[in-house]
Amino acid sequence: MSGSRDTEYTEYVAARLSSLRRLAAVLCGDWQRADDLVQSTLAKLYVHWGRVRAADHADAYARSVLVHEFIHERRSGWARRVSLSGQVIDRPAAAVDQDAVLDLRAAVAALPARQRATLVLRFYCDLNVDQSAAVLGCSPGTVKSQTARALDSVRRALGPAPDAGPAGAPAGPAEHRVYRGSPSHD
Amino acid sequence: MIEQQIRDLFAETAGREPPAPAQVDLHLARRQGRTRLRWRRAIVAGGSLLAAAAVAALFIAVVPGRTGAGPGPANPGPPAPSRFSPLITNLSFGWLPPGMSIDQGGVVPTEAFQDVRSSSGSGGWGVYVFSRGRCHVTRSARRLACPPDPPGGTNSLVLTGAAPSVAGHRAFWSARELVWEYAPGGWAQLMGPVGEGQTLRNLPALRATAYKIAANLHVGPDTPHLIFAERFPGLKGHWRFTELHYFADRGTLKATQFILLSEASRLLRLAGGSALWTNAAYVIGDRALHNSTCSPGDPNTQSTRVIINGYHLWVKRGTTVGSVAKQEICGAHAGGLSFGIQEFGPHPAVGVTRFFRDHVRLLGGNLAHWTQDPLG
Repeated sequence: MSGSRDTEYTEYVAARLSSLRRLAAVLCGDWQRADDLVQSTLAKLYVHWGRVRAADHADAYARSVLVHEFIHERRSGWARRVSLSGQVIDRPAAAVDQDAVLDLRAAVAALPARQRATLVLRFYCDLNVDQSAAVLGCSPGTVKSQTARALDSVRRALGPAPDAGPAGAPAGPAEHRVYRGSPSHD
Repeated sequence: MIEQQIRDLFAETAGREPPAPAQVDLHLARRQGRTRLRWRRAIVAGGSLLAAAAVAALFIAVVPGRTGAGPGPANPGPPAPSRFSPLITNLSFGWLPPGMSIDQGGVVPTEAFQDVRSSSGSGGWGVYVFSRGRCHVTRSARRLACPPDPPGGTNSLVLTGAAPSVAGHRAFWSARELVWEYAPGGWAQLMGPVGEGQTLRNLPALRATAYKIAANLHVGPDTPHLIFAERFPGLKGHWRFTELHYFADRGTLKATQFILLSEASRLLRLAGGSALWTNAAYVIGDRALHNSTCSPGDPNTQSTRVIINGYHLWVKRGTTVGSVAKQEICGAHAGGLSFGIQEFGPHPAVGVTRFFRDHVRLLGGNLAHWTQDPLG
């Protein structure tokens, strides 16, 4: 028991809160869920504070905890139900099928959590394959295959849907296209 | 091509202005972390509710610290207590912001803490007080250094500057705390609900609240008593409490987790910075919940059902983290209580079965029947 343990912890996470929130937002796609994710991550960091302090790269450790918390949370049925019935992303009310960016966002949001986390580590955190593997606790080969699958899924989601109707016909709302199937299989 | 689009998408998401204030509560995270820490270590130690007592104590025991030189300059008034009693809170808030109430606290001989929270569950305050001589401000006034209790590790708090005195007592700012010498030789730290990128020093409203809380904080023997779910006949004079954790419940402060030390108790340090008292009784006792369990199926222990003093109990023997021998007695529904004792080490001073039979009287699930004098 020590006030300084709390102080060190508080000072550390307060200084990193902004970056952790942004990383969580990229993973989750909306700020509300991002803050929930950060909240649970911070509790875990408190539990593992000794390891965080001792880590050569405390920020990398914290990022790893957050990513694992995201994957764990997304595995739960609760997260899937919420994703399917609630707001998935911060989305303007524009006609989504006419906006490639929104299609892309929806396609990425529909990825399994581990694939999405892999993309975030590679293309947002700019980690290389080995670094991403270290965060995810898997082999570099798995990172490569997860990345390839994720990119392939996104490409397919952005292409014409198999049952989109006659060529040239609107495919329908992106969210409907993305979520009518199974949303996530980790 | 698609990679760059994804990069742009992620950058755009991260680059948006996040909603402020963040819905992240650091105080809540600390509280959640403490709770998880207790139960996580309980699982490591054997998977029973009883082990929670041990791990709560461990949590208290793994104090980082640094050897200090002694008390700071004298202030008017009586000196700070040299030791804290495990039977009382040792501190009390003379004033709290509206809607705030005590959540939990803890006591070791030279340190006590208490957390308060709002009725909404967020935006709480936490205070630590240290006994006389436990901490000192370094000569450069850049750190508050506190030796650990129990010994081991390192610890110091970085001070960012002098603060206005608290009721005439010298004070300092740290990044997020107000630190002051509440009585000669005794230091206190007050942590508030300071948001991201902010400091207590630079938030006028919170700063004023902090000063009002600090100025009205009382430390000493005339502070609220804790209540215990059990009596320990025959131990007075030979055993003492340490590393006690209490929680607010229905207007009371119930001491539900603590360690009873004997003269034979020794602190055993384990890998990873944790520690165990050997030849000591780790006790947990609280009102039983309908789903309370003693986890008799724990594969790392041998479990035996026994009836002692009319209570149906489990006795478990095994090893804990670090391959330390442990024995445990546990009653998930023992007269309205979830109760247990755990001992570590190959040759415990008493043994949990004999300890329970001869030295424990459970007081039931009604808080009104609990005692303020468990060794009396």
